[in-house]
Parts: sequence; structure tokens; C-alpha cells
Amino acid sequence: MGEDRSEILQGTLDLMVLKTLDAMGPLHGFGVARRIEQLSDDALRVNQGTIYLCLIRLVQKRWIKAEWGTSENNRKAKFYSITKSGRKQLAAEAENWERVAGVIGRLLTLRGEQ
Amino acid sequence: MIRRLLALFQRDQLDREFDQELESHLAMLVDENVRRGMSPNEARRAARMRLGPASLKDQHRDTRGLPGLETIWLDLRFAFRLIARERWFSAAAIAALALGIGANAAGFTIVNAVFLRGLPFEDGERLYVVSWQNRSGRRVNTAYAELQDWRAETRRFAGLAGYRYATLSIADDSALPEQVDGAWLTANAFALLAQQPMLGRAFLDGDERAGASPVVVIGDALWQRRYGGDPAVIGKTVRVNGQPSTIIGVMPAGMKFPDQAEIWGPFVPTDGERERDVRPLRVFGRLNDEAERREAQAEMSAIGRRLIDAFPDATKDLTGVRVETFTERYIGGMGRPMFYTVMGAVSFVLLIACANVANLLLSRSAYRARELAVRSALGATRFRVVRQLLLESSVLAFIGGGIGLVLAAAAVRAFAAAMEGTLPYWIVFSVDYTVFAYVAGICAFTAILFGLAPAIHISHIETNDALKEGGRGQTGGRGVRRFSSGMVIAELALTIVLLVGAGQLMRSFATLYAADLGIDVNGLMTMRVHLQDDRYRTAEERRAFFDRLEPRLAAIAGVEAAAVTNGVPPLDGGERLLETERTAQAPGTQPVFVGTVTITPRFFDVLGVRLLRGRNFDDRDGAPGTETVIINDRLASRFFPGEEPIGKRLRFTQREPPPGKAPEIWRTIVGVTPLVKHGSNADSYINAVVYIPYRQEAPRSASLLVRSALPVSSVMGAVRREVQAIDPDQPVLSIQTVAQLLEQDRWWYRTWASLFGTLAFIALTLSAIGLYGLVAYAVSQRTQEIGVRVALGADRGRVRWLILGGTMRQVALGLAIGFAIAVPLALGRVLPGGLEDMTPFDPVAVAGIVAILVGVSVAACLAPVRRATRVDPVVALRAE
Repeated sequence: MGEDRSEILQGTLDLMVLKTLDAMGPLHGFGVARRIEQLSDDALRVNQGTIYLCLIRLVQKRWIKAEWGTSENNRKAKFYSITKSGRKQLAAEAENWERVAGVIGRLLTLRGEQ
Repeated sequence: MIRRLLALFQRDQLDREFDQELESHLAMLVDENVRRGMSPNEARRAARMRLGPASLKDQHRDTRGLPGLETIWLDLRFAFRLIARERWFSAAAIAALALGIGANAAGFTIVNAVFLRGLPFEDGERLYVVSWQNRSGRRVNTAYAELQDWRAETRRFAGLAGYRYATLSIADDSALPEQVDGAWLTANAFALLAQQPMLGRAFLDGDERAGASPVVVIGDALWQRRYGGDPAVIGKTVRVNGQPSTIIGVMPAGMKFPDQAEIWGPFVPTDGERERDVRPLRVFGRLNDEAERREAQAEMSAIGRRLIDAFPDATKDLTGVRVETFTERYIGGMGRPMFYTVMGAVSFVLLIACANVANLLLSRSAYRARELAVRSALGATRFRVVRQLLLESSVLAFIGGGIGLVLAAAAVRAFAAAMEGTLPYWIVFSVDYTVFAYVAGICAFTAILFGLAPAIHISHIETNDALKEGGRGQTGGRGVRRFSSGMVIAELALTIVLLVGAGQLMRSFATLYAADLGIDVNGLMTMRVHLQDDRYRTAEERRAFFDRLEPRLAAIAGVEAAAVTNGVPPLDGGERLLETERTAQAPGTQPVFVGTVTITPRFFDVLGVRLLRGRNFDDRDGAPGTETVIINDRLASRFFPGEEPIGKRLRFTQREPPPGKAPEIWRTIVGVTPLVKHGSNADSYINAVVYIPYRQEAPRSASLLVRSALPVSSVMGAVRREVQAIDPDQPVLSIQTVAQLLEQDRWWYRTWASLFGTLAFIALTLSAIGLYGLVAYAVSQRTQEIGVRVALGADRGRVRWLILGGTMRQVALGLAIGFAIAVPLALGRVLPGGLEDMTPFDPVAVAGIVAILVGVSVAACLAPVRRATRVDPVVALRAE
């Protein structure tokens, strides 16, 4: 049961990272973590370190790529950006979510009617 | 996937990069926190907490790499470190393994060379020897016409060719005339072997036609030796057996088919050799691409049957055709059981080595217990623990195997040198890829064999007990002790079998060595002459040659005596079936094989042998009407026990004399000699010898026996001069002292005996070491017990005896069981080489073995016991 949860969490996190990079352009790890926290209104406060586990997974799947660069305050940091296949994956995932959300939504309204 | 693999190799670099990333991230967090108003310290602490646990780095590594493989690599590194740290232990284990695996590798190399590899020709394993078989199961040569028939009818063989051994004398202006081994081949032989000449050409069909101009192909050795490697040798003329022949080609070095041949000529059958019942040729063939041995055998058998039916007179004694490999043809027989015995022996040594190492590992289990318990506590599964232990044993095995391979290579080289000249030239003992693969397999196998039991046992140790302070847990338990004892008993049994076997062999050899030749070998020399068919066609001509030669030899200055014979001791001139007047008439008695030696009258003078009874041969013996023989005392006591043999008669016979053949002549015994050794002990007769006067049967191939105080080279020169005074083209070969001849005769036994002796010694050493280790360990385990006893007031000496007694009882049990297993095995076996008069059970050897093993056990006890009883009992009680 715990595994299922972590898998779901992984998948969600992947989606969020991809979306973030897609929307914001190249970001370093700190930036991605910060952004996700902001977007989710601090509801998703994961250990910032786990971001990196997600990032490395996405790099291996070739959905994002990494490059060394300099940050705003002149620190050396690795910048991640989304790739073409990453964008495709993002679109597919988003569509999936929408479908699921639609079904659930209809289910819920159904119950209400009854 | 590939990225993951790559990540493994770039581990350090990637680790560093990630560190940097984290550093930057941390710094940014800190900055933010400071901006929010926290103090630098608070900022740091808060930032670190946000970042996550320390295991992040490991998780990162796991996510990006292949964790499974990584752990194996880690385990390997740990294993290496462990081995380096425990130097004595590792050295002992590796030494044992090196010996065991090395012995095995050497044994396998030998077996591989003899049985698994084919002839050194292209697709050599598709070459087979085809021969007739007769009623007694012996192989029979083939007639020229029959070869033609076989070639015409076979579908399975791509081709069949014939060959015939020959000793040829060659003479030309390049060097002294010499006699070399060679072969007559049918024209297609070289092509069938797929052997190209290095220079010039091989035979063509035209070369074997009657009336074709004679040609020869020479070998590289001959080419270098006689012609200095001069390429202009092609086209030169050389007198082969007196006949001028043109050299048309040179074969590359290493080509000596069929056996040590240095020169080849086309087989051109004489008129006599065209007859169907004249069988000069041996036949070999190459299988077709699609054909299999079984099919070829069936086909040749059918062809053979057809020929037997078609030509009943010519194929009277023949029963069928046999298709076999060259190895089977030339080695099978005595070779096979000998080689299997070797493999068995080296396997024993390996098992003993494994038992040793297993015990070593087990005795270390107490030491490892705590470390492994910690691992388990940290979450290592039993599988992982076992895997790690197996990895350790694998490392030991492969290191030991590597060293063993080097040892084996050296041993094989020594063995090959010792076997030089006794085996067909195409058997080359070398360490090749097959051997490497075999050794690798053995290493893996032994790693599992000696590693598994201790590994499983150790992994069973209860974590709690092991972690407890001073906890021995189950490590000193009965299970371990029983396993160790079992191992030791097994080791002892194996060693005993090996030692008994080796002991038998070595004692027989010692008997052989000590066997009195019956003569004084001082200053005794021998040379060979071989009278060619074409120049000495009749017995008369041969006799005349020796008539003229013997007095000339005796007349040489410095020569005390000279004679001619075909059986220089310890050799003989052949063996024949013998019957006496009595046995010929008695029903049901079988004729027996005896040795025969043809001699000139001064034979016994040269050897310094005095007749026991009767008289020596004189110049008349052997002439028609005076068919006489001299026998030795062995024969006399065997065939004429208690009676006077002089005047009695005997004759030679055959098991199945062909019908219409005249019966053998009766020969009269005129003298009896003491035993002079002719023929090795392995021959089927019992050293009973009949001496035949040369006048009766002048030999074609004979040895000149000369006793002289002069150095060998001057004697050789003088003898050669006398021989060539009679016949200028007659070469004289291979001079050696009879003492050297004796050494050669013993080589076969000496090599095998030393091989087995070495193996047995290794086994004994390993067993002794294993025994020592085990006993020492067992005693040290009882240190607590000893301490208790001494603390309770026991006399130290008494305690020592107690421990000693206990250990001895164990060893005695081990030995008893070992012997109970080993002795019936040893008794039941027939040692290859068929040495007669061998005591299957040698009390001296057995006593020696027992003494050594008991001695080792006592020695193993003494030191630990002394140490244990000297220790302050309080310390002993508290000790782990």
C-alpha cells in the first residue's frame, strides 16, 4: 500500500516538474522546488532534496535535459529544461488527468443527484 | 539502461557534481532564510532540514545507477580487502587451492592433449584410421588392391589413402649417409591430410605409377640438418635405399605424419604387393562433410563383408573392418586407463584441497560472526550475506586458480619433456583455450563447493547471540564440529587411497629398479644396423654379412669382446608361443609366450654371463640338422621342473596356424643360462627366454654389442669403419651405452611413478595441513573448558593428556573410517601397467602413512594444549 502511494506521488511529482519547466523555462533544482511549493500554495511541502531524485529520473527518461550554468546570485548550478519528448509526455499526462478528473467529477455529481 | 551502466563507472564524478548541486541549493536556501530575517546559524539549520535526510546522496546514487551491480562491486572490494588483511589465512587457503586446481589443470591438459584434440591438420578430427580386423581381434593391414576397392566404393569418405612406415637410408654428397624414419604414401595422402608443402610440391597421381621417375618429399628437420635449409634442394638427387630420387618438395616443421617421418616417397607397389593377400598398407581417410563416424563404420563394414565374400582365400582370417580415430589406434589400450587414473588422482587432490579450505573458512566463522550479525542487523538479507561469502570464496578460488594454472603450465612442460619420443608426434601437451575454460569452470565450481556450506552455516547464526559480548553462539556448536570432522575424515580417506595407490606404484618401480639385469654394464655399448630388403634379400646374404662382421669387430683395438644380437638387455628380440614335447601332447595345455633373442656365439662372453649347464653355441649351431637353442633358468624351471632340460626339445607355434603351413621344426636345448633381463616386466611372458643362433635366423635389424674401455665416440668410429669396409652404404645408427638403454626402458615407469608420487605428496601435505588446522582450532575452542578444569584444581599434565586423548580418539576414528573406505577400493583396482608380483597391500606403506598422520595430529595438539594449560585459568574463563 505504501508503494502504491509513492508511485502515485512519483507520477504526480513528475507531472508537476514537467509542467513547471514547460511554463517557466530552464530552472535549477532550487527554483523548481520553490515553484512547486508556490503553485500548490505550500500544500505540497516535500523534502526539497527529493526533487533531485525526480529530476534524475526524468533526465534518464530523456524528458528533460541538464546543463551547468550560473544562477541569479552567481552560483554555479545545474539548469534543467524540458525536451521535445518531455513536452509530448506532458501533453499526454495532462490529457489523462483531465479525463480522470472528468469521470470523477461526473461520478460525484451523480451521487449528489441521487 | 546504458546510462545506468555508465553512471556506475563515472560514480565519483557524478557524486561530486551532485554535491555541488546540493551545495548551491543549500546556499540559496540559506540566502532566502537570511533574507527572511533568520540569523546565519538558524538559516543554515533550517535550510538543512528542508533539504532532507543524509541518505539523499545514497538515494541519488541508487536512482541513477544499478544498485544490484553496485553492491556486488562493493562486496568484491570488501572481499579483496579482507583477503589482504588476513594474510596467513588467505595464503593458506590460496596455497591449498593453487595446488588442487593446478594439479587438476595439469591433469586435464594431459588428457586434453591425448584424447580431446585431433591430429594437427585442418579438421583433424575428421581423419580416421581404417583397418581390417582378424579373428583374434588384432588389426591387420590392407592390400593395395583392397585399398583401390575401398576407394571406389566408399561414399562416406571423401578419400582414403595408404601409408607404410619405412626406415630409409639416404646418401648423397651433402653429408654422411644416414638412416631416417619415413613413410611411403599413396599419392593422395598429402591432399587428404590438407597438408601443403613449404617448398616445391607434393605428390601427384603420376608419381605412383609404375615406372615413374622416383621422387621424394623431405621434412623440415632433414632439410635443415642435411641441406642447411638451402632452397635449391628442390630438384636435387638423393639416393634413397640406393635408388636415385629427386627431391620435389619440403614439408614445414612439425609435419611428421605418420610418426616421426622425415622423408616421404610415393607408394609404388611391387608385383608382389599387387597380390590381394599381401598387406603392406595402413589406411586412413577423411570423412565427407555430411558423413558421421557411425555411418562410415557401417559402410566400411558392409564393404568389408562384400570383399570377404568375394575373395575368400585372400581374406581368410579377416572378420571385418574397423574405423577408429588415430588416438584410439595408437594410444588406446594401456594409455586410456592410465590417463583416467591420472584424472581420478588429480580430482582427489582437488577435493582434499577444497575440504581444507572449507575447514579453514569454517574455523574462521566464529571470527566473522559478529561482523555478519551487524550486517544482518543493518538489514542485509540472508541471501546477501550468503552472496557476499560466496564472492569471497570465489575471489580465493580464482586467485588460487590463477597461480595453479602457472604451476600447471610448468608441470606440463616437465611432463612433456619426460614423455619425449614415447608418444606419437601429434600429441602436444600445451595449455590452450580449452584448458583456460576448464580452469575457470573449476574455479567457480570449487568456490561453490568449499564456500557454500560455511556460508549457509554462518548466515544461520542467530544475530542476538552473536552480538552478545563474548558470544560464541552456535559457532562452536556441535554442528560445526561434526561438519569439520566429516571433512577431515573425507580428506583422510582420499589421501589414503591416493597414497596407497602411489605407494603400490612406487614400490613396484623400486623393485624394477633394483632388478638385477644379470650382467655387468660397465663399458658395454650397442649400435644398430638395419639391413635393407633390396640389398639383403635372403637370409643367406644377411648371415654372410654378420659372418664377416663379427670377427672384424672383435679385432678392433681396445675392444674386449663383440657380438651381434637382436635383443640387447633389457630388450628382447620378440616373443613367440612356445610348446615343448610334453605340452604339445598334453590335451588342453595352451602354448605360452616366451621371449626370443637371436645371438652370435660370443654374446654371452660380451655380457660376462656364464652358462649354468650345457654348452654355448658354436659356429655350427643353426645349420640345417643342428637346430639348437639355449634357454634361461626361468624357462627351465617353468617347463622342465625337476628334470634335465639339456637334450629336450621345444618348438615355436602359432595359435591358429594357417592350413597347409608346414609344422614348425623341433629345436634341441643345448645350454641353460642364468636369468638375464630381456623385456620389461609388463610383457606377458615371465622372463623366460629362448636364445636362437643367428645361423638359424639371421636378423634384418640387429644390434652390435661391444665391450670396451675406450670412449664411446672412438668405438663408434671404429665400428663404423669395419661395417663400411664390408658395405660402404650401410649406415650404423644410434650408439649408446647399455646403461643408457636401461634408463630409457625405465622412463615410462619413472615418469608415471614420479607423477603419482608428486600427487600423493601434495595430497599428504594438504591433508596434514588441514588436520593440523582443524585439531589446533578444536583445541583452542576448548580453552574455556581447560581453564575451568585447571581452576577447579585439575593437574595440568592430566588435562593435557585428556585433551590429547580426546583428539587422538577423533583422529583414530577418522583414520579407521578412511581406511575402511580406501582399502577395498585400492585392493579392487588393477593398476595400469599390469605389474605382476605386486603386493596389493603393503604393510610398510600403510604403517608409514598412519605414522605420518598420527604424528601430525599430535603435533597439532601440542602447541595449543600447552598454551591453553599455561594460561591463567581466570583469563581462560573470561576469554571468548
